[in-house]
Amino acid sequence: MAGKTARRQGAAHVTSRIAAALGGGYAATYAGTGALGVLVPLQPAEAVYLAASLCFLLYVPLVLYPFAARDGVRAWGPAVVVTVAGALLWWMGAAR
Amino acid sequence: MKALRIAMTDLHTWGGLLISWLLFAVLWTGTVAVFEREVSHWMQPERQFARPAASQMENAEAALRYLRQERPKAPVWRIELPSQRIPSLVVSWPERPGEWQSRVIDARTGTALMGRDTEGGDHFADFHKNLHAGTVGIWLVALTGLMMLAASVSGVIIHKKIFKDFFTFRPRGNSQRSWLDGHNVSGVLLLPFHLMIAYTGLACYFAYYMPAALNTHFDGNADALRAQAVQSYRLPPAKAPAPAFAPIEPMFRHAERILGEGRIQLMLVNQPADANASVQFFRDVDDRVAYVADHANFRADNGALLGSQTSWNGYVAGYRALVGLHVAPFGGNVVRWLYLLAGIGGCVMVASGLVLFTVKRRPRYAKAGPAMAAFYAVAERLNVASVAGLLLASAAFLYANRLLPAELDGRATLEIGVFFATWLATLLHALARPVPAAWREQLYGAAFLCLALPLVDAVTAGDALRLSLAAGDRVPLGFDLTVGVIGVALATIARKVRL
Repeated sequence: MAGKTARRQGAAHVTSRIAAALGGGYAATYAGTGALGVLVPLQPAEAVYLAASLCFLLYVPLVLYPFAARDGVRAWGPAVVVTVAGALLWWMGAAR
Repeated sequence: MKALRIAMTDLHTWGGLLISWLLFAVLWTGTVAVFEREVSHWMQPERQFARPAASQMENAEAALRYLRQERPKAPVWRIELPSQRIPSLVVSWPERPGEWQSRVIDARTGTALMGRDTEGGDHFADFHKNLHAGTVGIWLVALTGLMMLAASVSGVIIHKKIFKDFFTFRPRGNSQRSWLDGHNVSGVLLLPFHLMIAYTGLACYFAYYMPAALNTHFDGNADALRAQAVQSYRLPPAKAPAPAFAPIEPMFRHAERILGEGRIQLMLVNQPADANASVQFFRDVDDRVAYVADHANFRADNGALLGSQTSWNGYVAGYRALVGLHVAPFGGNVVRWLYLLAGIGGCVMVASGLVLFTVKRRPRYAKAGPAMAAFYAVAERLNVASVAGLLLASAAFLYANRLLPAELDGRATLEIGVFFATWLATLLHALARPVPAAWREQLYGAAFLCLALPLVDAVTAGDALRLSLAAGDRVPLGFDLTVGVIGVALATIARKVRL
């Protein structure tokens, strides 16, 4: 019962969720946008415009998830995974 | 599913509450900014009654005659040809870097009309984009957009009977129920619009806060990106004085063959005093969603075609379609009115959400500890100032335009000062008065200002109103009537609504 537990959790958990949603979500979206910009087989300008058009679709679920997670620590899961994966793909793609 | 709904409720309620004081302001000013050009037109009555010529060619020639005579050394001339939307021939140029001046040209007499110094509709548009606070403001507005998306999606998740409740509105029963219904109806009926407007708004300024791909490919340089999308035929300065200007008619006709007859809306003359001056003709943008303007470019000294752009890369057009969906340059007045009504729907959604929070929790917070009680008291008053107070301040801005002397130095900044000072005053008023009285007084105040505006306009700018109507320009009168109708709506809300 994630919801009931969340309400009884303290300020630290709430703060962590908010940080994961806004800050973690930002980092993950940034990394994801960078990855998208190098992975698509398009001209540079095309890649940037495509990334600009799509990237905020990534941010919204990353804002919602932390509040559905079981606690303030688990809230960071997807943000961390997406940030690391995105950064890796971005780095690999840019190196090519 | 129930657990998810509960989790999303907290996000929706608290995330929604905390962002909504700012979000309402962004939504309201954005709604007004749909008609920013009409607002600007209304705010410079001295420029309203110049009659354009019968043909765009004559208009272009009249504009060029004026600019050649009065501002031959300007770095660029900008000529807006009269359109269905704004029936004025407007010339402008940068007097100093970043500081543009403009005049309306009466094509029949060649006289130039200079309006009173004002930001006009740009005040609302700039506030909407950046709260008049530069880059920090852009980030804050982006936050409101992101939270609007999060609140909309979480709102759908928590709304159990979303299809059954689609048209449910119970105004007479329990007050909390009515506010919830109003919030749901305005939210759900316009849900596609709300999602679209928030998402496209974020996309518009991606270069400021989500530049990852831009950094990879263009070192973060948005101008370099734009140069890939928009063909430039500008010539480097020859550093020699310009010989005579070639006649504009052949260029104009050639441009019309490329862009479409009767479709030229804007002209730019780059470095008119230089031998490498060029003339750019832009097609109007009111018949496509993608916000891109086809253009044709000519040498100014001999009228030779330098090049044109009438096709656009698909990815560029796709992105610019998002911008176009947000700004709605297409569809003329019908689309603008639809956006205005939908924008008002968004404002109703946010405002009713704010009120619902306080109405629903009043009994709970009456018994809570001092911290929660204080928070709640402040929240209720912020509601008044950020909704009713903002509307009042918007009306005060229009009054400042009519009541401050037209010749006054710095009046453009002063008008905006009146806006912010009035808004601050409404906050102080809300903090000083009991909440229901604060709502009533500010709503009636805003209603009064709106209803009286046509009279004030008739008294302070009556000549302009008469002359503009005689010239077939119905925008100033239409503006007065629209504000009057808003006044009636506000008075009705003030009378009927129990807050």
